[in-house]
Amino acid sequence: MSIADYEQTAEDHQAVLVVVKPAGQINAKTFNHIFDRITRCRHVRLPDSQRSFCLRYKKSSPVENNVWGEFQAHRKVMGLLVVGKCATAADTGAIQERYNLLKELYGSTLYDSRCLIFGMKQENGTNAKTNMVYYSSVEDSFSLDETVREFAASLFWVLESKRLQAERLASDKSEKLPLLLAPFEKKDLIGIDTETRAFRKRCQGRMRKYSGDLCLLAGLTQEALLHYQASADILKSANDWLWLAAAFEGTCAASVTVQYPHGTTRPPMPRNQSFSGSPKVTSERKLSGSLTRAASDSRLTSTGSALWTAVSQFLDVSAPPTMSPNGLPMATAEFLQDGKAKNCLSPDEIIEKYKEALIQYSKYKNAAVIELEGIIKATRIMITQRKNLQASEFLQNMVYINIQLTDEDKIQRYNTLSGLYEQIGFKRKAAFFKRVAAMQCVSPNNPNPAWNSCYHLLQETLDGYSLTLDPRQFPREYTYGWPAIQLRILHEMVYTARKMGNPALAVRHMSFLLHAMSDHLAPYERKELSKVLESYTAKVPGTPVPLALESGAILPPVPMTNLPTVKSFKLLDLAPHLRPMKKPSSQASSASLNSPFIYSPIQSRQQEKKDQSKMDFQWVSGEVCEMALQVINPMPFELKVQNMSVMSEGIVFEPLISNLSLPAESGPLGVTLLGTPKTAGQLKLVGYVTHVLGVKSHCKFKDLRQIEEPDYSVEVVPELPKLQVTTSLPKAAFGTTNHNLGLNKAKETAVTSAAARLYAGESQECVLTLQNVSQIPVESIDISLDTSISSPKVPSGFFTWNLENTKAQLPLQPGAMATFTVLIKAVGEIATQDRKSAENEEPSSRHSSPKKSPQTRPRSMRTAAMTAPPMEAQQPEEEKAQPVDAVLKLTYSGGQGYEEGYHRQASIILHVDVLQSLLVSKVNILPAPSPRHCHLTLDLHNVTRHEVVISYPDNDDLIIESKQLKRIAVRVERFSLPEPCTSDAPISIISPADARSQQYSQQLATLVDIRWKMPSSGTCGVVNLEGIPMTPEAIDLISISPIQWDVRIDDKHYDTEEPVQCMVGRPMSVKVSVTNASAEAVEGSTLVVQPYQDLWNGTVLNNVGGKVACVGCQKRDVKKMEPGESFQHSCTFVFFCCGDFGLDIRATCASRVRSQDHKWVFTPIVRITVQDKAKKSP
Amino acid sequence: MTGQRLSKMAVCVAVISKENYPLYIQTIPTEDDLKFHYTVHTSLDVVEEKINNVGKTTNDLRELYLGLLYPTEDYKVYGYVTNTKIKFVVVVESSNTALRDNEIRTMFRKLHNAYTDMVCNPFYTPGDRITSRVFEKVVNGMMLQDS
Repeated sequence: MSIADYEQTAEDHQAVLVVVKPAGQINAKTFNHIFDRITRCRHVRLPDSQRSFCLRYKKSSPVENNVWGEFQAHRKVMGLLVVGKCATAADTGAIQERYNLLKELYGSTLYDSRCLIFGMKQENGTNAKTNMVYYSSVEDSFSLDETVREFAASLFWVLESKRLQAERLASDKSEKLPLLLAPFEKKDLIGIDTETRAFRKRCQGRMRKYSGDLCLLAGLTQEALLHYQASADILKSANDWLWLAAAFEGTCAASVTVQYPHGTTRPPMPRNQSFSGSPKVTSERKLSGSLTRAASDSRLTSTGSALWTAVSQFLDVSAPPTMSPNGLPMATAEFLQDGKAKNCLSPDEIIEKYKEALIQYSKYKNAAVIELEGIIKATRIMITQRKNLQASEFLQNMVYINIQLTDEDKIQRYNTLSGLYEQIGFKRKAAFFKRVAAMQCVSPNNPNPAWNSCYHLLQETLDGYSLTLDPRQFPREYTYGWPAIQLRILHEMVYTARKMGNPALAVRHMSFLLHAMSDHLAPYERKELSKVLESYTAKVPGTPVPLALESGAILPPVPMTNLPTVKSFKLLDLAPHLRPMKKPSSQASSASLNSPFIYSPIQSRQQEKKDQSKMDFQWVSGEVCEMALQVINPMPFELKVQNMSVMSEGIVFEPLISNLSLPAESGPLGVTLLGTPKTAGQLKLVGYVTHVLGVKSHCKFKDLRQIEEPDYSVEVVPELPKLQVTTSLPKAAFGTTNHNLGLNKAKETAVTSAAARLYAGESQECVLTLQNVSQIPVESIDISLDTSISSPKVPSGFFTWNLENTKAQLPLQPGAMATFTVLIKAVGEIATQDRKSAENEEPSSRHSSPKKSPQTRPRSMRTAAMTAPPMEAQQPEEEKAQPVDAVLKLTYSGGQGYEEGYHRQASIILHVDVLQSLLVSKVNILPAPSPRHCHLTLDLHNVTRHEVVISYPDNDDLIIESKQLKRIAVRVERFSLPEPCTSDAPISIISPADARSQQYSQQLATLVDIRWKMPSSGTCGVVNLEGIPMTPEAIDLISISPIQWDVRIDDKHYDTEEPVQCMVGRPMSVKVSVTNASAEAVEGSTLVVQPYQDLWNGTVLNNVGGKVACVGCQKRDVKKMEPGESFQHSCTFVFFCCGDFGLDIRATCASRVRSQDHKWVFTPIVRITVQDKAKKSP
Repeated sequence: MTGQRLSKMAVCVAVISKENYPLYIQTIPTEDDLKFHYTVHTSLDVVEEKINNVGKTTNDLRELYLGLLYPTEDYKVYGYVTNTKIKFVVVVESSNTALRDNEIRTMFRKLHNAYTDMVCNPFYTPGDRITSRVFEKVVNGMMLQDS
């Protein structure tokens, strides 16, 4: 049985088969080189004519196939080329011997042969007799092409003569023809009557078919077509099915060469329609010779065989072997083009005919190879025609052809089948047969399983199964391809790789299997495969580097990104007290303003985008930094992840390796990876490293779809020192009831805290100890207080410190300690009820006495006591603490970070509970008898549970029992403060009057020193008077009057409150002398002396018109009074009735500062008792 | 169902997604169900080829039923494509001559209806594997029963 040629195409029918064989000592490379050169001469145009024909070169052709030469002429080996290389003459002999041997082997069919010998000096040129051609060397063989052409031409002429001979035989009906036979037909011939008509027909038909073959080989396609047609007609009538099929196939082959001049192995070119035009058009294009034109025209118009016979006869005479230049060739050339429209088959007909032929072939078991090749050839034609479905039907039948084949042949057959399927676009079928071929390589019957080629073939199937071994290209988010089959293929690849003795490859495939296909695996399968993988990796660990195969393919590494699956990755900022800070330099602020737009949506969007991968915080070099991951273990067993760490780019980064153990099917679990940046700069984190099931994986973020960013970068600033802060006070325990947001935030960031519980007025020291726990000396320290978190504002002076001593200790060396003290002075709140009540009482008194008699004051106090709500009702709950919170910010720096302007900030929360001690509930300022002093009366309310001892100047200690209210009076020297300049605080929101009030109360607080002591606990403190509300009247009272009075009544100096006795009707002279005692001039003042009657029942009568008469002016304006200047005013009063009278002597002056006028009232009040004459006597 | 009817049934029913991955595949109980996987998988080549050809030649309403995709030694493979490019493939035994084109068409129509009902389930995401029990019942009704 012959061996199928899987490479056959329909065009091979028209090519003369030449076998090229090596001989002597020629290496494969040189031989291949020469072979390539020879094969360049495929299409030969004969030098003297327009005829051309094709050659087909093969390196080997089994002699068994030669016997089919009669059946199909192109199967015959017609030419032989032996390529030899020799160094010595002895070699030449050996080559020649082999040449002769080969000639003998193919002798029966050989038309011509050559022996090409390289490496020998040309002895005597081409030896025509022995057909030996000599070349000095391979390089120096320019004439090789020429030799081959000449050889081809020689072949052609032999062929041509054989063709003519066969044609003559076929057309000559009288002669007895030999019966051409297919190899297996010989035994059937025995006992057949050769004299029958049927036999004769058979002989004739076969001969006709044979001459068709030869015509096709000789390049006469049209003649071949006619021969085939004629033979088909004859053979059909003779019931010679096998040869009929061959004739059909020949027709098809000839048609193919016409229809597809460029071959069927390439996609078809668009056919030029102009070639199939009318005979007239083509005939016009004919060159010369009426004979030629007549011949061709007759051919074109005639289809009948009778005409054809005439033409062929004509051809026989007009085409002698030497061939005339203007004869036949031209006609043939035209013929090839124009014949398309006539005898040759249309593309569809070709397929139909092939089908018929194949059906006939399939009837003969012995012609299986022919059938097989026929299918292949037909398929190739259909590929060209893009008739994929029909091609698949043909190929489907190919599987059923039963040929006894060797394993190798089977592999080749499946491989070819796969290749053909591939070409018709059936990649799945192709993959299927590739896999069958692969399995054939290692079939159990095979004693030498070829694992390598099996693996190679399996690798080629991957494409058909939509499988890629690159995990980056393999989509995991959706199913791609056919999982069940993909799994099978991968399993097979793993197994094959192991059998090949390439465990690394097996590990790579197995990890891919687990990685990519885990969604399609049952839990038990995952578990089992993981165990298998572990057993593999125990011998050869999985590596994260690409694996190069012998075939040149490169297997990319398989990072096990789903074992465990990392759900999220986040860089964490440093702890608040470790964060580096930088003072915003003026340059930075200007840089942010370099855009002319205040707001641009484009910019902000860009920034938002940036924010994702770029951290808005910084890390410090040398500091352990954290990254938070969320991992999921999808496996149904406990997963041990070893050596997990992050991968970084940029600066030196020392990742800390951590080992995880994740419970079965758990997650997401939070995992923290640590690392230390070693230098300053931009750090880029690009992925992480794991070691799972013995496979080392480098998982990059860009390959993980669940991680949004391809990398995360963070800026690392130079090293900074670290301080540990401790306080001498106990740590603050913050209750959960605290709703202060600012405080809550501060709590999270503070390093430590200090708490104290103090009575208002008490003070305490808090010692802070700073220890340098880093390796870098601290070079700068600064402290600031942030009181913004405290809900009531922290009074100034609550916390005080002196940093100079500490600063003197700098730089603080590593390990060294420094201390500094914060003094806490608890300042209690001033009871504000007083102010309210004062405001309440004011209108009533004013209403009753708009003139503000000096007597109103004590009375108004009385009324105040009555109108004000009882003290107890407003009393705060006892011992209720007022919390005061502040954050002490300790800013320090050192080392290289300091040079670059970075610092760290440690915040310490100071929490002070201020307990109320003594409440100042009512403050009054009363004029003292002496004009230089005044009295300050305070109602002190002891709200503590303890007895309090009050000590204040000029007095003995006073004991106030718990909950007791006591009034104390303190003599205060009057003072005067310069009026605040209006220009001083132009933007102050405090009105000038308030500012003045504050000023005076502050001054008063410094002057009055009231201390308290709690004998029971030993604590002591001061009573804070700061913030006492001061009314303008009080300020006038407390400030030193700029006017000095000197009042004389009846020339008697009046300076006591002793009433002046006066008689009815007697004049009483009043002399008032006013001196400006202040440093400034007083302008525009008015002096008024106003008498009134006091009825001693709470009312005063100002209208005393009928009771008193005044001699002189009651009122006098003074334009200006220079400092030290004085002026006098005198007037005389006459009283007409008895009673108690008084004189209100006052000076008013328009103030520059206040809208109200200044009033200076002469004290003491002038009282006059007017008596009747009659009453005077007793 | 009668015994006679049982013999008319399919040996493998598959639903394949638009992207040519299996949504559902049910075979008669056999040791080598991967064989059917291969059969159905390779039949996709023909399905694709048929769809492409139709698209090229006519713009008319496409015939959903693709007919016989290819015969193998033991089985015949039939195909059907919905307008959303969901493919149904039914494999029947070659020896089963009782099954004619009409029966196959009926089978596909039933399958298509069942699929449509299944897709109407708002909890089903198109492209997921089909796990509907109702659908499975319909498919099992078409399968050759061993009993």
